Amino acid sequence: MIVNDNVDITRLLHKARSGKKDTLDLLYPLLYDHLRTIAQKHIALERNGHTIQKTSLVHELYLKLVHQSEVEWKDRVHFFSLASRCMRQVLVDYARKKNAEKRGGKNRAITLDEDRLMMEEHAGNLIEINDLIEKLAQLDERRSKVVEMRFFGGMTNSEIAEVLNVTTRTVDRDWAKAKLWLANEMRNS
Amino acid sequence: MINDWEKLSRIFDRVLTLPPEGRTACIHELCEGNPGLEKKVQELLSGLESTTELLELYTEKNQALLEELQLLQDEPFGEDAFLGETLGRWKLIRLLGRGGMGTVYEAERIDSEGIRQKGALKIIHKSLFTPLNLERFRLEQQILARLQHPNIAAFIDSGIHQNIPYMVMEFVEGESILTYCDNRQLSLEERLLLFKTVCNAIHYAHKNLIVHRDLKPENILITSDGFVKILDFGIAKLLDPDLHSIYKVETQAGMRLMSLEYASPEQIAGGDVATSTDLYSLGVLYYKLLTGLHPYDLQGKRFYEMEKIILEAEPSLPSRRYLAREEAERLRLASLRGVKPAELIQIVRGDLDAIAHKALHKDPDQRYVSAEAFIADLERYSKGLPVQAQADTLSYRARKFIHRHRWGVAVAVFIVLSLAGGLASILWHAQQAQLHAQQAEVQAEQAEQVTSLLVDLFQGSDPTKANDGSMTAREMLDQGFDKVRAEMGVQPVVQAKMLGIIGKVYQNLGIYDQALPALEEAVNRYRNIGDTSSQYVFALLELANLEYRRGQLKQAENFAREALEINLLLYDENHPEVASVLNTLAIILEEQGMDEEARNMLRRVVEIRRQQPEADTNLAANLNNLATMLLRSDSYGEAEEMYREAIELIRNSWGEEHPYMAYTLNGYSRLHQQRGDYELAEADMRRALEIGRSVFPEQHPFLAVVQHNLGKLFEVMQRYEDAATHFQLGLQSRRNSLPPDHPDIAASLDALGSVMIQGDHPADAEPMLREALEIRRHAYGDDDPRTAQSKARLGQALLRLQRHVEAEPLLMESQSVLLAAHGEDHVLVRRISEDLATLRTLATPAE
Repeated sequence: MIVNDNVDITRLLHKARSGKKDTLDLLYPLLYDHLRTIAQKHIALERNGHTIQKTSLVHELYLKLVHQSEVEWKDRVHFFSLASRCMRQVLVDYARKKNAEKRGGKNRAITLDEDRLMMEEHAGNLIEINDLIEKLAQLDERRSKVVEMRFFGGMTNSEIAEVLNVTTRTVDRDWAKAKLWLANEMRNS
Repeated sequence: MINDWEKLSRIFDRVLTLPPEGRTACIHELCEGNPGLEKKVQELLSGLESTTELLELYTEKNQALLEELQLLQDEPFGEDAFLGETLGRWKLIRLLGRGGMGTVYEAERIDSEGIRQKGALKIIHKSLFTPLNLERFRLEQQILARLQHPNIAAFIDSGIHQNIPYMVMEFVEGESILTYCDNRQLSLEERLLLFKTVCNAIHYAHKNLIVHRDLKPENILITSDGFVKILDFGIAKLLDPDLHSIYKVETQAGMRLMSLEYASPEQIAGGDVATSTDLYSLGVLYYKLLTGLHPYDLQGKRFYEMEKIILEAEPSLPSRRYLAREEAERLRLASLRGVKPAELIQIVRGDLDAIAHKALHKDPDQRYVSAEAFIADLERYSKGLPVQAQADTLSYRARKFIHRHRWGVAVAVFIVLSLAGGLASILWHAQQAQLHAQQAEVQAEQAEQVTSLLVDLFQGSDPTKANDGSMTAREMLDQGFDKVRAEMGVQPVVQAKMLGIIGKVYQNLGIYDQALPALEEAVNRYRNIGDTSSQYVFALLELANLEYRRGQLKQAENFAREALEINLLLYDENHPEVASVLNTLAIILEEQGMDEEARNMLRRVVEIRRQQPEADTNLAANLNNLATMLLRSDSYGEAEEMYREAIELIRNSWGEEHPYMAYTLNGYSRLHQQRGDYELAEADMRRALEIGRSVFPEQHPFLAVVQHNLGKLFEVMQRYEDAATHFQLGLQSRRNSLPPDHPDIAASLDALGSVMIQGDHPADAEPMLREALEIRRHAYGDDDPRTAQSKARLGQALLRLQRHVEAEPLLMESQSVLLAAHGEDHVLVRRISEDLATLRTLATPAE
């Protein structure tokens, strides 16, 4: 099954880079499913007492789905950026759902559920960050992309530089400035 | 607001291209005439790091969120699927919550007689179940059903409904024990009472061979009537009988972070889980009840870091950990217990500390044998009887002593080992040459005697004193000292060696008044028997170090020079042994003002060390010393390089927690200070203090030095109250460990007096400065600049107290000495001139 996916994804990636909008729509559900599978694997590993090497989920997703030899570097980083956006969508959707539940008063905190409380708090924070990234996009599209790829995709600055076709130094500065902007906004809110 | 950002943005575009050093000036320039903007830019920039950390933390939580999402997707039913349904005879009324284990509902059943019963029904997460486990589930539930105790939430029912296993527990409404205690500001006594009730219930379960495995405050509720109810007994095992560790159940969806706090080392290591595991969790709970703090600093740590800490770190005693917190937090925690911080420390320190220490032992066998034993010790405490936790055996205490003072003792043990190591080669020579046979035997006997004496010493083998549990580490050492002095039938050279070692241990522990007789006796004995071996040099050098530390510089120099002469006879001039002596001598010379000679000598030492084939760890100490000297001659660049190299060397050879690291950071901090990097200076100095506290005993002089230096740093930063606090701490510690006329005490008093004047308390400064002046006069004479400094300060204090007649001669006398020593541009000299000018104006009658 995965073998078939590989072919598809590699092909789709080429297409996506050439800017076809509908290709993205095809890629999303594929990526979405795989992201969840990888998350499950992480849990299994931790259960056995392994401490996970911190690779980002999108990197792992990539290794799993794409034959490196078949994909150019450009495609690879492009893939990461897509996966980052996908990850953002997945997480924010879920965070919104959680928040709605909380507001609906469906779950009263009970003793067993400290973890849930923590996650609810995080869901709130995540939505805030997401809104801020959108706001940032109005001011500076490129910086909002940088945040998306760093924060949701766990990509490195040099990978991001490749996607955005700028120098790594530029991304370094964009990231620093974006963080300053986020801090400023969070303080003002 | 967007406009605001545009302005900020332009500034950041410029600033971010600059290296950190250049930013401040640039910001100032760009924000010209807008201090509000400048402040904001600075604030945002300095917050950059914490924003980065926050985002990293969020990234980690993203992962947990994703995992949670994954778990939910796997559930065959929606979260509300069961609401309103009936499982067995239980009708599900309300969703209470959902966690890693499964979902909990409030449920109700009506029995045949029409009596309603409430329960908390748990539907266990599907992924935790296999057919095999279902069978175990049936067996286990019978055992749990037998657990009948008023303080344990009862197991009411369980069953399997359409392949979905569920269990029903007593429905409890209450607060977690910690929240309950805090909300009502319960006293320590009341907290302990509740805790004993918890222990009683745990003991009951343990007698029934049921281990909780997941004890934490969230599972220990107190109802509004004040009843203790422990939830989820045996659930962890019921859920997954094969698991030994916490992993399988609790790594789900971020929950691990919560439970790890109470998990025992053996649980984390995946070892057997027994009643001792619950006892450990009780220990953590007890600790938190006492202080509100967790035994370890797990805040913001990653999962594997927490594991490592719980597995390896020694917990601080509750009172110490409390003491180390910020003042505001101490106040808050104490007031939650209805006491003042000082009272809290006083209550906890001693027995309650010891009980925590025992309960949290890494080795399960060293913990309380049962919850009952835990209670019994708490009872003994309330009755004022000696607690079991304090009555550890002497040999255990000896081990602890050695561990605590490992740097002092390690040296002693090392010497014994090197004697023993030398033995093999000596014996080999003995076989080769008959001539040497006799001497080899002598050496062997010596080595053996030293070893057995040392072992005796640290095992406290005196039968009259053993095992009463009252001996302190210091007493053990004193006893060893007496014993060696009185020892009959030991070769004198062995006695001399022992005395040298004991003297060194005393000195390393900062107990100078005992180190002195020990080392003097060692040296005298070597002289009596005409022994000028390397052992004699060892004793001489120790004595030189000691005299240096006691401020007897001339004597120190003499001993060091004698050691050097002997070593030059024994070794080549590039030998490391020669370097060791030169290092000591250089420090002594510098203290006497021979800076140039001292620096050259140390450069030579560094050179010798660098010639060694392997990286020599002594090099770190030498570099530190040289850097300190360079610092005094304002050669910052070179000094910095050396500090950095030293820190690197120490870290690689010994790790962070080593006395040398503390020493080096202390020096490095002063470099920052002189350059005006006060924040760096404070951070490094505090780290030096922290390391110092963990590697030295309380009365060690180094700790006083660091306190003093922190005081000086705050003085420069014009934080006079903080400065006074730290000078005061340094002074206290010096008064406790030094003779009353020691110059270091004068230094503390002088500094304290100075900040008192600056903080506008001249009346408080006066007696301090008088005492400082007295000591310095005695130690250095009247013409010494240090004496003059105290004199000048006294004059300044008196001037501010309007006692002009007394002030004037003091200021005049000190002015001439200080002018000669420092020149007219020196801060103090200038201040004196100003003060004298003021005096003259006042003296001139108004016309």
